[in-house]
Amino acid sequence: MGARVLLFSSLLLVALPWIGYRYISEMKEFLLQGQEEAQLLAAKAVATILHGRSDLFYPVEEAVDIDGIKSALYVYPLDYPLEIDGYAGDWGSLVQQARTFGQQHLVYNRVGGSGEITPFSLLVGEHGRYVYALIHASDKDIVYRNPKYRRLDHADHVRVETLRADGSIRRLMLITEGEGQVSVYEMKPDWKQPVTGKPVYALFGVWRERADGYYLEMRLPASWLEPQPYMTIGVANVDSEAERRIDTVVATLDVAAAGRPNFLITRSPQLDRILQGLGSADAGICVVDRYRHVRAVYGSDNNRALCTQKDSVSDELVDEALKGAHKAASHSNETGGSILIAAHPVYANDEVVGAVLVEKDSGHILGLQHRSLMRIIVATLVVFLAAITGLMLFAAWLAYRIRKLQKEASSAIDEDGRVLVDHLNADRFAVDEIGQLSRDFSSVLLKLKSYTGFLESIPRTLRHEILNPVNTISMSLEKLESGANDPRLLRSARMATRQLEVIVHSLTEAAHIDQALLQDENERFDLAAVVSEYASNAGLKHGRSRIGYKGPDSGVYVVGSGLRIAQLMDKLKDNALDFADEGSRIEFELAREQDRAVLSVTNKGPVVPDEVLNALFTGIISGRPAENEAPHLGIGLFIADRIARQHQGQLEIMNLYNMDGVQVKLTLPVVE
Amino acid sequence: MAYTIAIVEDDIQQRRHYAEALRMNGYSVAEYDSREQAVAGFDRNAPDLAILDIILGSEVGGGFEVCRHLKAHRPQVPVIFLTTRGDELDKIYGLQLGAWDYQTKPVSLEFLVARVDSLFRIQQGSGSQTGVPSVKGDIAIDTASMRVCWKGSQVDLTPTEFEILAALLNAPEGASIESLVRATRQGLVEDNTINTHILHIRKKFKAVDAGFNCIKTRYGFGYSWACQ
Repeated sequence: MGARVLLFSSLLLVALPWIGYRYISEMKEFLLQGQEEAQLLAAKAVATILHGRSDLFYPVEEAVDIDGIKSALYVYPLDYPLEIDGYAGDWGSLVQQARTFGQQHLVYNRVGGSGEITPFSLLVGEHGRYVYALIHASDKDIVYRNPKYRRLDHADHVRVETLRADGSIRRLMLITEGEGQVSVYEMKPDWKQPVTGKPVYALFGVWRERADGYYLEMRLPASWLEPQPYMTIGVANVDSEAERRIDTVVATLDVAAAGRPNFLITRSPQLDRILQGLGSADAGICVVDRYRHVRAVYGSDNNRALCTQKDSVSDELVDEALKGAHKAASHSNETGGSILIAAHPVYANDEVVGAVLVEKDSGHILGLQHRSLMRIIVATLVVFLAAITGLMLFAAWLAYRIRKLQKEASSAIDEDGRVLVDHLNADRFAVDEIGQLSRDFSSVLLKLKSYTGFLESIPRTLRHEILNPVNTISMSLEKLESGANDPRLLRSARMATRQLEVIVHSLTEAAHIDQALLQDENERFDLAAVVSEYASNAGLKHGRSRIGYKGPDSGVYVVGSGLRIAQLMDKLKDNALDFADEGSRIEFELAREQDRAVLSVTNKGPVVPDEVLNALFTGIISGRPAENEAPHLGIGLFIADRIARQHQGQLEIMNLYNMDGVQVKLTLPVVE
Repeated sequence: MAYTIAIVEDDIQQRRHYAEALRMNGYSVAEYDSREQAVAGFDRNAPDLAILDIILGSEVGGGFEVCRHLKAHRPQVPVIFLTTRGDELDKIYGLQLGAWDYQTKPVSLEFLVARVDSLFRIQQGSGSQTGVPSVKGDIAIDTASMRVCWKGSQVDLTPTEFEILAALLNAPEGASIESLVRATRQGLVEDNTINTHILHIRKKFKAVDAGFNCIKTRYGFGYSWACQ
C-alpha cells in the first residue's frame, strides 16, 4: 500500500516540472503571438500611410514600363565615401553583388573586327553627394591611347551616359594612356567627336590593370542623376594596336530598350523621411518595392534579418507579401538571434507596388522563457531534494524511535520470562502510532508483571501458609499412630485439612478470575443502590458500629455486573477488617465526580509502607496479621483489582494524610 | 434394585473411595480410569448413572467428552461431574444436559452418595406423582421427588439448584450466601457459584413464566424469595 502511495506521489512530483514547462511554453507562444500581432499592426500602419504613393517607388513623370525596370541598375547605399584608387578593397563584400554584362549586352560588333568582347561587371553605389561605380572588365589585350593620335576612340575606353534635366543625354568617354587617372571628355552622339574637347573634371576615375583586364573606379556627382535617375555604362574594346579600330562594345543597355539609359534604382530619401517619422528605435522598418529592392530602411541593423540585404530581398515572406498576403515569420540573423518579421503589402491603383517589413528580435521573449524554465528546474530540484531529504530524515527518525522501542521492549523481559519493568519509557507520551504502540506494550507488561508477580509470590507465601496446617495434620497423625485416642486430634486434623482446602480454593479463584469475569453478562445497573444495600447488610453482619456508609442511595449508573462489584466490596471489606484497629469503624463512601464514580473504603490502623503500596494489587502478601482463620494470601486485593479493570475502572490504595489509616479507592466510569 | 453406577476417574485412590462408598449403599459400580475405556464400556453396558471427573489424565476436558458421547447415545442417563474450579460450572451449564449435578473436590463421600440418591429420586419421580407437594402461592414443591411446579408448569431443577430454592423458600427473611452455600452441600464453594446457580434458576423459571421476578438479590447479604 505504502509503495503504491509513494509511486503515485512521485509521479505527481514529476508532473509538476512538466506542467511548469508546458505553461512556460504556452506563455512564450502567447508573448510571441502578441509581438507578431504588434509588428503586423505596425507594418499595416506604415503600409496604409504609403497607400497610393506609387510615386515614392517610381517616378511619376514617365510611366515606367516593365522592360525599363528589368534593366534597371541598383545603386547600393555606401556607409562611407570611397577612395578612388582603382582597387576594389574599400567596396568590401559588395563586390559580390556586382552585375555582369556579357554576350547579351553586345551593342556593336564591327564587321570584319576581331569579334572579341570585353564582358565586365558593374557595381554602383552612392554616398552623400556622390555616386560611385566600379567596373571590372575582362580584356586580354589592353590598348591604351596613343597621344600621337588625336582621335579619342582609337583605344579601349569606357562610356558613361546620363540624362540631363532637360532630357538631353550627357555622353562621357573615359580614356587613358596608362594606369592612373582617366581623362573624361563629353562626346557627340556618334562617339567620335568630342563636344568641346575640354576635359570634364566632375567625373573622377582611376584605371588599374589586372591580370585578366582592368578595374575602373569612378566617382560622379549625384546631382547628375536627378531628377532622372538614369545611367548607362559601356565598355568599348579595341584589340589591334595597329589598326586601332573599335571591335566590340558591351553596354548595360538592354538591347531591346534602344536609345534610353538604364534606370537607376536608389533608396528613396522621401520614403526614408516618412519612415523616420514612424519608426521606433528597437524595431527595424524597411520598405521593399515590387522587384524586391530595399527602397528605405529605418532603425538599427542589430535587429535585422532581411532588411540588411543590399540588393533584392529574396524570401518567401516577401514574395507572399508582394502577392497581397500579410503575415509574419521567424528568421535567424547573422549572430544566431531570432528575428520576428512582419510583412504587409502596399497598394496603389489596386495593385501591389511594394511591401513594408517590420523586424524585431524576439530574443528577449525566448530569453525570458529560458530563464523561467531554468528557475522552474532549479525550484523543482530544490523541492525534490527538500522533499526527499525530509522524507529520509523522517524515515530515519521513525527507524530510530522504533529501534529504541524495540531495544527497550526486548530487555523488558529476561530470558526466563521474568518481567523486569512494568512500563516502557521510549515514546511514552508521543501522540502518534509509535507512542500508542509503546503505551500498549507497557500495558501488556503491566498486566504480565502483575500476573507473574502473583505467580512468583505463591511459592513464598504458600510455603508459609501451607506448612502450618500440614504440620498440624502431621502431628495429629503421629500422635494417633502412637496410640493416642483423643477426638480433638481428629478435629484439629480436619480443621487443618479445611485450611488447606481454603488455600487451594483461593489460588484457583485468583488464577481463573479473568476467565470467569469474561463469562459475566454486563448490564447497566445502579451502583449507588448496590453499594448502599451492601453497606447496610454488612453493617447487619458485623455490627453497625463497625461499618458506615456515606453517599447516595440511588442514581449513579455504571455498566458491568452488580454481583461482581459486591464481590469486590467483599474483598475490600475483608481486607479493611483485617487491618482495622480494634473496634474502629470502616467507612464506605460513594461520590460522583463529573463522569466518574468514586467508591472508597477507609479503615483506621497501621499504614502500609510506601514500597508495598501498589504491589498489594499484584497479590504479594504484605505482613498481614494472622488474626483470622482463613488465610487470604493477599489475594483479595488482587481479585478486586481484576474486577475493577474488567469494569474499565481503577483501584488505588493510599495511606491517610494523618498516617493513621489506609484508604482504598475505586474509580468507575459513569453512564446516564 | 441394584442400579449400576459408572465412575470415570483417573486417580486410583480416589476412585476406590468413591466405589466403596457407593457399594456400601447398595449400588453396583463400574470403574473406568480413562475416556477411551469409559466410552468403550458404555457402548457395551450403559450405566444407570455416570460420575465423571472432568480432568482425565492429560485431557483437560476429558469428562466433557465422555458426557457428550453419553448424551448422543444414552441421553436419559444422569451425570455427576467432579469439579475443581468454579468456572467449570459454566461449562457444565453450557452442555445443556437433562438430569445432572456436580460435586466439588475435595469430595465429601456423604454428599456424593446423597447426590446420587437425589438424582435417582428425580428420575423415578418424573412421570408419576409420588409425594404430596407443599404449595406456597404460585409455587408447589415436592421434596421427595425434588419436583417444582410454578403456576402449574413443571420446572426441572438439578439437585443442587433444588436445595438452593428450598433454602430460599424456607427463609422468609432472606437467605445469606453462607446458608445457601451450606444448602448446596458441596463443601467449599465460591461465592460466585451461588450467583451462577441463582442466575440459572431464574432462567428456568422465566422459561415457563416471562414475568418471573420472585428471587431478589440482597447485595452484601444474599438472596430472598420476594413473592407470597
